[in-house]
Amino acid sequence: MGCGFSRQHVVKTNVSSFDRELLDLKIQRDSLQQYEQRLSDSLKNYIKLARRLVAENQRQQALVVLQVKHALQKSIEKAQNMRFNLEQVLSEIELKQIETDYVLKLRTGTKLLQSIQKTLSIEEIEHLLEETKEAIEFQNKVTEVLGSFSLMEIDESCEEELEQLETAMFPPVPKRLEKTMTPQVTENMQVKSETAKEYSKQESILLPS
Amino acid sequence: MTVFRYPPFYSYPPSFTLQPVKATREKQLKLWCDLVLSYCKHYKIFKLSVTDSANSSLFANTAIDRKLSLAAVEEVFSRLVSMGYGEWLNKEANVCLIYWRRPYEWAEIIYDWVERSGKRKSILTFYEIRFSEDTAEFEFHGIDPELLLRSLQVLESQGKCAVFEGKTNDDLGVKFR
Amino acid sequence: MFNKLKLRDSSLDGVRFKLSTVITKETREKLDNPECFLSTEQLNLLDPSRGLYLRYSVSNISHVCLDKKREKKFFSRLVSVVRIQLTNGEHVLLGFRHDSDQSVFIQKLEQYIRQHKQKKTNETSQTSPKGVGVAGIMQTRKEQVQQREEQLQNAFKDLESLMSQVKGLVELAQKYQGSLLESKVGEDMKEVVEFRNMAASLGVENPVTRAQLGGHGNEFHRQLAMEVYRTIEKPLRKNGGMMNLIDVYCWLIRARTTTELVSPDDLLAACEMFGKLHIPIHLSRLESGVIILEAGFMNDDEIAKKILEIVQSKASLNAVEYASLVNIPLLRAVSRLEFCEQMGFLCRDEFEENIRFFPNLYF
Repeated sequence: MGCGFSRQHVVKTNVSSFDRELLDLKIQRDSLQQYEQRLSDSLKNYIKLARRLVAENQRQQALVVLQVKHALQKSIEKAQNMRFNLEQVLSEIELKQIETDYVLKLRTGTKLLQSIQKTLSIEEIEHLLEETKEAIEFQNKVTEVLGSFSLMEIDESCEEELEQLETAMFPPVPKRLEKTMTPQVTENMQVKSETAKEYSKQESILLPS
Repeated sequence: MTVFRYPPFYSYPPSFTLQPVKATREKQLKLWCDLVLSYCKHYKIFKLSVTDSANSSLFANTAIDRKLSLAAVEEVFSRLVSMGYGEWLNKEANVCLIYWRRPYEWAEIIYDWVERSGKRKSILTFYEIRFSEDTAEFEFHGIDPELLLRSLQVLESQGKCAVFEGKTNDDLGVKFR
Repeated sequence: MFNKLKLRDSSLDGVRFKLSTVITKETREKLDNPECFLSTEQLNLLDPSRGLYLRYSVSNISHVCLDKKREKKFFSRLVSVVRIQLTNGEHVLLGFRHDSDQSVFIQKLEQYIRQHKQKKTNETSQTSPKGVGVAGIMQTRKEQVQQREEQLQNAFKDLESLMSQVKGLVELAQKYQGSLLESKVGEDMKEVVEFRNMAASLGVENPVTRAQLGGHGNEFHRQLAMEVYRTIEKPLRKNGGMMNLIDVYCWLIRARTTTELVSPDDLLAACEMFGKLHIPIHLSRLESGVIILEAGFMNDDEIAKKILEIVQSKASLNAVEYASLVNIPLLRAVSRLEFCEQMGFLCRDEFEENIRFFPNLYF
């Protein structure tokens, strides 16, 4: 009670002998890479040297240099091959590690599943399903019975009132409105519409087609 | 790599004389420390030798014909180390690691890369971390091995990895959890 | 074996001490109420009840000291032990009843031992063959010088103890002087005068002049300041407007026709009033601790501002350039520039033994 702070739980990463050997392989690969790098650097130098010798017209020496260059190239190829092999091996190892890991996990998973399944048997499940089905049927019946029973009688007078409301709120199309209009108004409207037609004719003459 | 742009105080002649007045000297040393850190960051320099750098353009400005005396350079280095931005690798040879990023910052960057690139639960060599093409665009590419070791040790203390040697090799590698 | 000796020298002058223990080569028994009797020639140890005597001649004693290692507890009291070393290699340990006796005993015995030694050296030097040429003369010279040195050392030893006693008295006197000054002058004049005389004889500052001119001596300093200015004006100009305060002090003392001396503290206080009195002399303290008086009205801040102006217009300034610009001696120019540097207005640039000053851009 009342201690300062709990010790941090730092998990130590374990390094096995296998890890160390794997590291050795990787270091080997690295040193091969470094070797390759060195060789290709000196290769570039030799190419430059060869060019210079050719420019200075020293054919014999240029030949020698070229031969050295060829040998170097072969060494580089060999080193590349070796490195490639190593990389293969390393990736194989990695893959195998993952595979074993996968199998182990699968095994644990199956075991887990089996332990869960032990808690239930198939007969129990079938019995359970039947019970559920019966329960659902019963429930449906109850709803039906409850739904068909109604305390309320629909009144006919209520329906009439509803129709009246509807007509008042949404009146029908105004065919009757035409008869209330006076004849004078009709004539003026006609004259106006005639003059409008003339204007539009004149306009069409004046405006370019 | 672009040329490093020196700050204005580098062209101010009194900057190259260690000031006797305490307040001024404090300011002066701070500016020099900042310069060293930004210079090293720009050129990705992880360690400096006191004697070599004293004659380099870092502490000598030929344009105004002034350079910092060796004593003053040593003062700058001790200030860096005392503030935690440097560490003496070899006191006799006067070689100093420059922490323009501190080890715990490097640790964070490296661990971030490890997680993102899916390198967890794998073994990496120091050479791989420093020089492989995977890390070419990261800041820690080409990092000094001593500094890398210190950064990984920070991660080790947090339980995130383990640094170890090979069975037949002295070279170091690291295993991430 | 103990010899029963008669106290032949009971007529001699000496001092008696009560002891608690006596340890010699012969005896390790506890003696009842031992006593010792010290005279210039002898040291006698007595046991009154048994009448045992031990006698040592002072000339046979090589030295005496406190034996701190052997502080013992006797009868639940700590008793420190005095160790007396004899010339034949033996030693005697005495434990004293009273600590005060012990220090007196050691002092006296040391004195007597010294006297005996001197006699011996005198004798030996006299008995040495004279006229062995230059070597002999040089030898006698050397011995004389040695004797003189020893005498001086001894004399000063006594003086040291005297000084420590006097120190207490002087402090007391100063305390009373302070309280006196606060009290009204005029009352109890007799007492005051008597006290002042006493204080003066002890070497305490002469309070006369101050008391005459009123309690705090401000007026005194003011008048002194005027006096300094009168005295110093010409010499200061001759010296290029700069003089060491020590030289000023000497001038002042010399110029004063009366025998009344001025204390250096008073001079300093007077100089610090120059500003108030609008006297065109300026007191400044250099870095090395030296205090100088400079001619002209000068404020530290003003100097700094002027220097800063010059430096900003010229980008950088050398001490030589500054000295020639303002027409002051080179040393003063350097001290002023360094003062500005300390204030944080300037930065130095050292290059091949040249020092130039730049405006401080760090702040």
